[in-house]
Amino acid sequence: MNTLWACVVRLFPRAFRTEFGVDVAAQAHADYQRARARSVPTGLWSITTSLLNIIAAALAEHLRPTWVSAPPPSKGIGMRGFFDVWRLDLTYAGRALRRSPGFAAVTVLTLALAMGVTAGIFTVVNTVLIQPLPFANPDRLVYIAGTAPGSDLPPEFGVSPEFFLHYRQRATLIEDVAIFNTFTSTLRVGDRVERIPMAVATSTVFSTLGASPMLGRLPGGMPPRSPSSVTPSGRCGLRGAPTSLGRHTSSVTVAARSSV
Amino acid sequence: MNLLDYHVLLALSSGPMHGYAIKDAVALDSGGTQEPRAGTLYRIIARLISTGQVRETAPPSDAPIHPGHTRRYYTLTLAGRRTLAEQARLLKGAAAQAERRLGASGRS
Repeated sequence: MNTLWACVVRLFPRAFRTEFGVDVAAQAHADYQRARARSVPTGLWSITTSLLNIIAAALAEHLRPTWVSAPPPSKGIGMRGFFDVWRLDLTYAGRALRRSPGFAAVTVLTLALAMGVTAGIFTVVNTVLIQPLPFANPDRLVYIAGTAPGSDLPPEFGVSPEFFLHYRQRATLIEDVAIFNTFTSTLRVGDRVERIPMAVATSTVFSTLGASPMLGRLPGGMPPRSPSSVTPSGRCGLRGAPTSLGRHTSSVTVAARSSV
Repeated sequence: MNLLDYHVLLALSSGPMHGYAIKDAVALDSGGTQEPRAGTLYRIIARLISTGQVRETAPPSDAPIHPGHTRRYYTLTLAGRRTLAEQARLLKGAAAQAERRLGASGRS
């Protein structure tokens, strides 16, 4: 009979069973013995009612617990204790490093190198992947290039002006198109000479990129037959831009100072 | 607080008791109307301990040694005594109200 009570008591949640399981089983067994002393049917009735009662109580204890495990004893480390532990750790680390300066130097250099590399990688990732392009609608910009598998051409090459005209006139999903080519050139202003990166582009490059000039006007608004114009970027070495507007250098005209 | 909780507090007001003695005392105090089975009784004891109204205590010095397993004794805390007094006051008021109404309806 004790085995029966021990089995049915296992229906209780563990916390309750650990605390009161033995007492519940002992009392159910005592109820049975008292009833059995009167008559056998009374004893059987006692077993039945105790079983049903324990099952119902176990179910209720699962649904609405009256007993939960006591929380683990607190170690008594509050915020102040937390900082005390940190201070002790740092003090111990400082003493250990003073005892072996060679190891300390290697450690510091390793940490410095690791932090430098990490910062550098993050800068690249942040610039290339995280920060959006400095244009009006970077998510709407697409770069179109050509490819000719099986030919002698490189895997990717710039499209010809015919494609530019074709896209400009017939494409319905593209709002604006610009074509450009980049190179490096030498700029001479007075007695000053600089190597500067340059790009030859159609005048639509500014409207395509959503860029506006910091000073002056865009080349697209220039009258026909005017000389080719140059638009120095904000990073260009031409200092004193307002005075350079309209100035002819060789065969080009400084028309604007762009933010791109 | 339901009636069984009240009867368990009432049983323990006479002194420390183990589980089976609590059950007998409840049955006696309630005139046989309340006779909690093991699962129900120990859930009530667990709830009263969790709410700080009952605590486990050492067995009295004259407690008989029970064969099988050591019996655990429970006693009321101060909070338990206050709860019992408050419940008794409420029940007394409710009983008086019932007697007044029954008496008034009996006279009419």
